[in-house]
Amino acid sequence: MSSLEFKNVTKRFKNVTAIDRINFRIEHGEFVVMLGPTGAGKTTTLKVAAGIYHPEEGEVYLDDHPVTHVHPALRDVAFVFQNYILYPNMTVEENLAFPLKSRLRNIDEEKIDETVKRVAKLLHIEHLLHRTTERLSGGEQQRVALGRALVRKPRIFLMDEPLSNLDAKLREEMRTELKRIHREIGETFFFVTHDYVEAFSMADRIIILNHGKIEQIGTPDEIYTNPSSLFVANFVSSPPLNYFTIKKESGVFVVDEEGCESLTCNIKADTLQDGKRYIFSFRPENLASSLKKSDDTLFDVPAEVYVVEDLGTYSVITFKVNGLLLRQKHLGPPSAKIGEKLWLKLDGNFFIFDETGKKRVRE
Amino acid sequence: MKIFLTILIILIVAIYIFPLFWMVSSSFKTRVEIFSMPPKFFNFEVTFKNFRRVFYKIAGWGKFAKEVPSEFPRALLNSSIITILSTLLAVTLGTLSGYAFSRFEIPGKSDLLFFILSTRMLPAMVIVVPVFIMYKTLGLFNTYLGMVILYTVFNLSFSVWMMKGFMDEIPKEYEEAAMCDGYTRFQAFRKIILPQTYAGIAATAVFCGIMAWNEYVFALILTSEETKTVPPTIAGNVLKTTGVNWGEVAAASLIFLAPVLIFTFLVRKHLLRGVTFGTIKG
Ligand SMILES: Nc1ncnc2c1ncn2[C@@H]1O[C@H](COP(=O)(O)OP(=O)(O)OP(=O)(O)O)[C@@H](O)[C@H]1O
Ligand SMILES: [Mg+2]
Repeated sequence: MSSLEFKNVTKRFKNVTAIDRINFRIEHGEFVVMLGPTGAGKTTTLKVAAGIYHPEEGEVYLDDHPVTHVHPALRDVAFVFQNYILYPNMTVEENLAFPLKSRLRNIDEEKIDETVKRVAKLLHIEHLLHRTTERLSGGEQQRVALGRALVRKPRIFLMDEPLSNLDAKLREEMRTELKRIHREIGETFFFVTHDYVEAFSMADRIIILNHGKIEQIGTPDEIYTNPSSLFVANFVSSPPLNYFTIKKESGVFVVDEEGCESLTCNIKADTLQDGKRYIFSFRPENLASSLKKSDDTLFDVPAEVYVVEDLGTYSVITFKVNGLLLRQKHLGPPSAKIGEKLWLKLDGNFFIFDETGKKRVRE
Repeated sequence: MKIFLTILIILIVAIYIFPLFWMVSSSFKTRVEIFSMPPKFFNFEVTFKNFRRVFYKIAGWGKFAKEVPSEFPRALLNSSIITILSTLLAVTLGTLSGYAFSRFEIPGKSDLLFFILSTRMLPAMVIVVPVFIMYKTLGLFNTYLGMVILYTVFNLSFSVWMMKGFMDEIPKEYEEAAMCDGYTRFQAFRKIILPQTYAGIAATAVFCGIMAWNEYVFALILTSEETKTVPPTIAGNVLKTTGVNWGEVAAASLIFLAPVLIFTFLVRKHLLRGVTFGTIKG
């Protein structure tokens, strides 16, 4: 039984509001990932959850008990720090044993030893146990930091970008490993990252944070197919989302961007108001191109192939339509050559937001 | 270029070492040889009489002259007691308040820090008389307690500022991690932070110790027989009716200097790390 809940939590540093009236609830056994760009307030959120920072407003609940002003040691949470924070005056083994040696827990030596060995094995760091922490590589340090959390059975694991310094292969291995550990021990995980692929591959639910405010909470699928703001749609897109401003003029959509005078756009969206501006967007993977014009082409002029990138398993083609640059992503080698003129059309979802990009507008 | 540098270094070292060398050699010379012209650097007759005179002085005249123990051993003991206690106190208080200044939001923090620094701004000569009068009134004149308090207060500003600097270098996440691991802030400080500042503590202790050990003005005015430290004792022996016996002064100074040299040498590794903390890591 370990749920975590934030109710209207605000944390300020002098004149910076790091998190601003945040509300969310993580259920027992859930794996929730908080995703956001740098400076969004992710670390601050975790530290408020751990009791390291005390919020100016709002309440934090663990298992539905208010813990807003409870000391971190008494909250029984495990924290993996963004910058490892291994104790430099101790060996790897002593680092791993440190949380277990706390007087709060009263565990006997033998049991501590056994746990440390088991976790070291799990993380492939048995050979490092007697080394000091100073000369370890980044990846090794990160695994020791993870280990220091995993030796315990805390109420909740708080992890601040614990995989960011591992190389690609090890990172994927650790993702799978963490998911497996999560399944096995069934504890609650609150994991922070700025890498949306990581978030999508691990999360039961994702909380998207931007400038200290929650943009959206949902399952990876909901976030991907139903982003609630331009920021969310763009943040979980690679290559970046295609978007531009449109304006409805007597039933016809005109692109309202520099260098795109009198470029009309063929969109079926009857509910939008005449004379208002909107942001029209779609993912690079939902853009298609063909040699022939058809009645569902997006623009009434052909697009010119501008840049072609072959990225191995997939390709990115950048098209130029008047002043607009639009990206297409498709599997396999590039399907077009630079300079070619093709007709663009949409193959799948698109999203329309209000002029500011803050709110989704239903078509 | 390399040769030029080497010569330069030798020159600088020679300039710094020479007074020390002259002191050492003088302590082994007779009175006549100290003043001989041309000066004798190595080819003099070695005598230990000066060292004997440091510990046993001559009392009486002519055929009544006899050797009696001097006040020097007592002065050495006094210096040691006062230096060790005041250094321990200054470093302990400096470490604790350095941590507090580094970590906590204290109202008027920068003013407080400046105030602490300002306690060192007046020269000793200016405050020695008021302090003397206060000490007389409070009964602290010529006591160990008085001298320990005085030197502790004197070293405190240096110690607080040094230790705050070392603490600032240590990310606060260390305590945060230890607290999440199930420890109180004080346990975190003792088990995680303190061991990381040993080099800084060693450096601070050396500087505080040297200051207390060498201090002259206050020791001269505020102590007499029972608690007199070495510097005023040596200085008191300089002016005698028989003239300055430089050999004895050199011998006493050498004995006085030895502990400092030995101690500094012992902690030199920490010292170098402590002084360069934050610039050259590790
Ligand atoms: N101790 C602090 N004092 C003052 N400002 C702070 C402090 N901690 C964080 N901030 C500010 O609060 C905001 C959020 O910081 P936070 O570290 O939570 O971001 P983050 O999402 O973890 O970013 P990153 O991905 O770079 O780690 C930033 O503007 C930061 O400058
Ligand atoms: Mg962070």
